[in-house]
Amino acid sequence: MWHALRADLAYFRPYLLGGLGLAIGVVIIVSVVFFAVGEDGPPSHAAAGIRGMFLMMAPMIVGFIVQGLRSEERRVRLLLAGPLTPRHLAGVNVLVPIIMFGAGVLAAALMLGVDFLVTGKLAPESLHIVGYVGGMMFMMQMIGLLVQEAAAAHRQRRRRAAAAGWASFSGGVLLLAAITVAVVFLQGPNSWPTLHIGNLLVAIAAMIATVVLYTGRTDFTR
Amino acid sequence: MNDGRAEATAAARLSGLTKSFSGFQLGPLDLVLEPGTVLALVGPNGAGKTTTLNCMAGLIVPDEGGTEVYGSPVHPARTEYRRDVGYVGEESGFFQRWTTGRNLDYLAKLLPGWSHDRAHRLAERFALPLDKPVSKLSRGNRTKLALVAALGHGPRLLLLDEPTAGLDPVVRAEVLDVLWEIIEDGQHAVLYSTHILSDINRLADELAFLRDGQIVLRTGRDKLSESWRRVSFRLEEENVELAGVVEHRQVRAEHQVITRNAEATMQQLTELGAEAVEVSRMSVDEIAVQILKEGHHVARVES
Repeated sequence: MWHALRADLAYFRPYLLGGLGLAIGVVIIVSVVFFAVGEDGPPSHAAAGIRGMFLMMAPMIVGFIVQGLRSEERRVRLLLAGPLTPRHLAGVNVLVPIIMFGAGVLAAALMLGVDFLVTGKLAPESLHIVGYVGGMMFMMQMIGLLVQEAAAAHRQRRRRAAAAGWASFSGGVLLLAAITVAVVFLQGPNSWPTLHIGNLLVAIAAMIATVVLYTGRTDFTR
Repeated sequence: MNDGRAEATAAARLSGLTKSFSGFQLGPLDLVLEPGTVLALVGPNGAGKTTTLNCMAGLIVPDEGGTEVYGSPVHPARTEYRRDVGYVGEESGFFQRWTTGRNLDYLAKLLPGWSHDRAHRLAERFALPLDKPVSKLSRGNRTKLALVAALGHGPRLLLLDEPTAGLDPVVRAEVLDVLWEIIEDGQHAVLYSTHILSDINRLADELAFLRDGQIVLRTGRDKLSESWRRVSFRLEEENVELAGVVEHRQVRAEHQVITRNAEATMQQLTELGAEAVEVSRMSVDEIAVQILKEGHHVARVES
């Protein structure tokens, strides 16, 4: 599995670097604009959130593109000629976008580090906003994979699997909505951690459901 | 005892293989492919050829029944059988932006039993450009790459899904040459699906005719050629019923028939006193067309 994962990451590295390069360019422009407008611009934590969002959004989008290309190139056909089981394939399927997104998180963390070096201060709010934006994106990426698998189960007439997939999707979204609404109404010192944990829980649940659904596939032709 | 040994050594065994899609059902199929045999799976588009091969390659899980390859059950979750299977389908899953050579290097690490020497010898024999990205290869070269990829780990069973479909006549002939070279050593059992009937004559020992998801007839290529004939004759009698005839055209006293049992038809014509009898052999292509046209009817009588 690791060999297949490494190959896919090497194959799609130019996409990732291109996406990150573009995001870094945007972040530099946005930083210059914020610097130019001075105190008329957004507060520092919001500015950090906006720039971090670009850095994490790029690899997330690249992750979606990569999923499409892997499917278009029918990679599974090649991998199933070797000693990989559907569980291994599910692992590669989930880990490729996670690792790509991880590169965006790393870039956002580096940006916060540079901010700290330049300004000499780092508000906890900045960390929370960047973390929240990142958590939301990660969760959406995992939900995207889950929806893909639920649709595949539906296409393959695995009715129970499809129903379970859609139920997981709906449950995850409802849970996240409930947490977010509760946090907004009950503002408190634990608001941010609750939101982070909520995002992470839904993302992990979606990831596990994706792997389970993928493992039960009856058609690996695409 | 002998039967048990034969069962264990079958290159491929399909037992009650069934797969349903909306509006189509494949099977139940029962088929045994012996080692060293080249079996052509012949059928029109949509007959179920690709689905059969996908099930045999473990890419599709059947609804019922299953496949064994050299005694190992085929299922995506199992990996033992894959050592023995080389599959050439319409899509092979290569890294399109990587060169042919890099794809082969990748496969060398992915597939146990891969022989770098064997793969590069084949690539050289096929004149496959190793430094070109797969996306820039011609269709013929892609098929050749798929063949090298399918053969690099030394499988004993080769599954070929319409390998010459969509190729121009020159490249098609080239690919058929390559296939002939691979097959002639007799070390591979081959299941070759096609709707291009002229491929059959050259490559297949046996033919299985697939229509609407069912095998309507399985027979040896030579046996088929022996019994089918086109016969023209003069006979005044109208509405004559002839044994073995699957197609009958008549203009006044002139008749032309296609028979699947030449011996019986000729004997009957002699008894009826037919004149100017001319018998001509039919190519396997022509016979295949007749069988696929007539479907179950011909198959039932034939078997």
